[in-house]
Amino acid sequence: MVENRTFQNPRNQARARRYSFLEKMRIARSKRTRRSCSYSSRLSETEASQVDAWFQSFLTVCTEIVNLYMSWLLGSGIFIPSAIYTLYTGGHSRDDAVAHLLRSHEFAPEHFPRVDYRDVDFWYNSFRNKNFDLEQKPEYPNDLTRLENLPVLDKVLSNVGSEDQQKLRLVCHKFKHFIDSERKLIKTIRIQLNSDSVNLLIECGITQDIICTAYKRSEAGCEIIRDGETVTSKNNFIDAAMEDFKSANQRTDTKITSLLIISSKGDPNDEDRTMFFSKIGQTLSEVKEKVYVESLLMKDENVDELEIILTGIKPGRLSAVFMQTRSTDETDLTRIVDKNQHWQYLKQFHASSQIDDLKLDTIAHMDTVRISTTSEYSAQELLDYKIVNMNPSELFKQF
Amino acid sequence: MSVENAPVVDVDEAAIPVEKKMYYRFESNDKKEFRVSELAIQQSETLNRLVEAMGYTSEDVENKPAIAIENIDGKTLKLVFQWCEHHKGEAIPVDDGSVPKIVEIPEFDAKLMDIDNGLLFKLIWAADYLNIVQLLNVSCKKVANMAQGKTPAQLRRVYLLPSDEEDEAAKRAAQEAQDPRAREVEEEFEERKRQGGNSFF
Repeated sequence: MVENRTFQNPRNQARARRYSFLEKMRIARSKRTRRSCSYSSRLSETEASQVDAWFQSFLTVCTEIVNLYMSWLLGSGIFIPSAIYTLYTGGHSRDDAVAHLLRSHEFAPEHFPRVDYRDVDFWYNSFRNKNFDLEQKPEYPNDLTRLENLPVLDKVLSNVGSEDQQKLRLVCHKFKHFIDSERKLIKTIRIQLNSDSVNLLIECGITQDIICTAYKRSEAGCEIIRDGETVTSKNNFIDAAMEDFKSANQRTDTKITSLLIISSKGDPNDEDRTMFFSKIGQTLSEVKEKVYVESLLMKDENVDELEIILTGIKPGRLSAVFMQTRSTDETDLTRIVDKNQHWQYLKQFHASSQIDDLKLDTIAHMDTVRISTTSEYSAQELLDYKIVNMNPSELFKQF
Repeated sequence: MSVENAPVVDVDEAAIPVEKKMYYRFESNDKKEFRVSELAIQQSETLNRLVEAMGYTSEDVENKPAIAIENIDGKTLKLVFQWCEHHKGEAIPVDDGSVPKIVEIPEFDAKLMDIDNGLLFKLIWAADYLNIVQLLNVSCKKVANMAQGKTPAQLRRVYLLPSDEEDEAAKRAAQEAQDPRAREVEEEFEERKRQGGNSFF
């Protein structure tokens, strides 16, 4: 068969060489097998037992070598990291990896050391951070009774309000460094829609640095003005502003003390206004986690627009809403009061528009409320809820 | 410690159905043994995966050694398993940001966590280590609540945090304890510097 084949091109010639080499190997192997069979048939019983003894001692030596190699491997320090690396690259979760390694220990305790969760955590973190040096020496905090040694310090801080977080920065260098490196504290974001531009102000909660940017409508798209420099963009001026607004919000657990959304009295046209709010809603919905805002101020907006913004904010964190509506006569706040998921957590609520049929128990949990209502209350009711009636048409409650 | 003498975490007997339930045995780093129900273990992602992978039968649980949890002491582990037993069968919150996370501390948890700060931090550490999502949420919330309205000096006291000066001094003392020659070398270096020498060697 081989002889009949023709191999014209170099690739086929190489294949032919390889084929003939394999063929030779096959023949040599079959000859060796025949020879060993004839040897064994010619061996006497004594010689055969001698061969067996040699073979046994050869096996013993091999086992010793393997054992020595295993002892070296176990003592080398890369045995466990290698095993963990295999599990990591195999896509096993941290818990699965620990379970597999413990199972290995249970089956062969003398050959496979017991693995600690901390080992798996250390190596998984290292691999996730693209550090694949298997000769690292894992280090673990000794004193677990100290807050600064907690591996979930970020989780604790995510539950702390922005004001308290500022104070924690002053406690010690370690906390300052930790909080500053996270860069997750924003004092103010103020976004304002004008007739032909959007202004965005971001004030950092750590350094107090302020970044002001103006996005102006132009024929080609927009002009972005920041620090006295102008850059042109093909994007619409609202889209360009939203990109920066999104980048300020997209880091999870970023805390914004105050979010101000303002529509200027310069009367932006209805099309821009609709686009502006739908883009804000879209931007807030696109960030990984709902945005942490403690205080929301909206000026010249209506209730629909307020609802869009409230939907994008993390419930349980928003404690103050200040709302100055555009046209007080047409605004109906009743659908916000007590029905919105933020309502039960609010401590302050100020609104310029009128709320009909306001039940006092819906505002009982708040510290201060400033609203107008057409409802009438008895003196006892007002006393019960510690309401200070400042004005016949305006309720003001302050403890 | 023998199985008979092992401290058993309080279990609500009425809540246990008639069919035979498996109770796993765990051992803390100070050799205290705990028997914990299968349902309670489900609160810990880590322990749940572990017992699944081990594939123990009821006989194995009794005959094999207790599963060791090397770096958690008995006092902390007792709190962890008490929490797990109390919250067994409850849904484990998914922490993927899809659901707004509002952490409320239930009365039982508040009572359980009414402990000294050192133990509370150990409990957080254990909850993270054993991947018990809700216990981690409530304990972190509890620690965060302790910060409310405090000054930096008060925060240091509440969280048992050393000031930077104290921290530096502790580090220096630890270094000296580790290498007594280091202090001498440092003093020699300072002396040479005072004498105007630019090079130490």
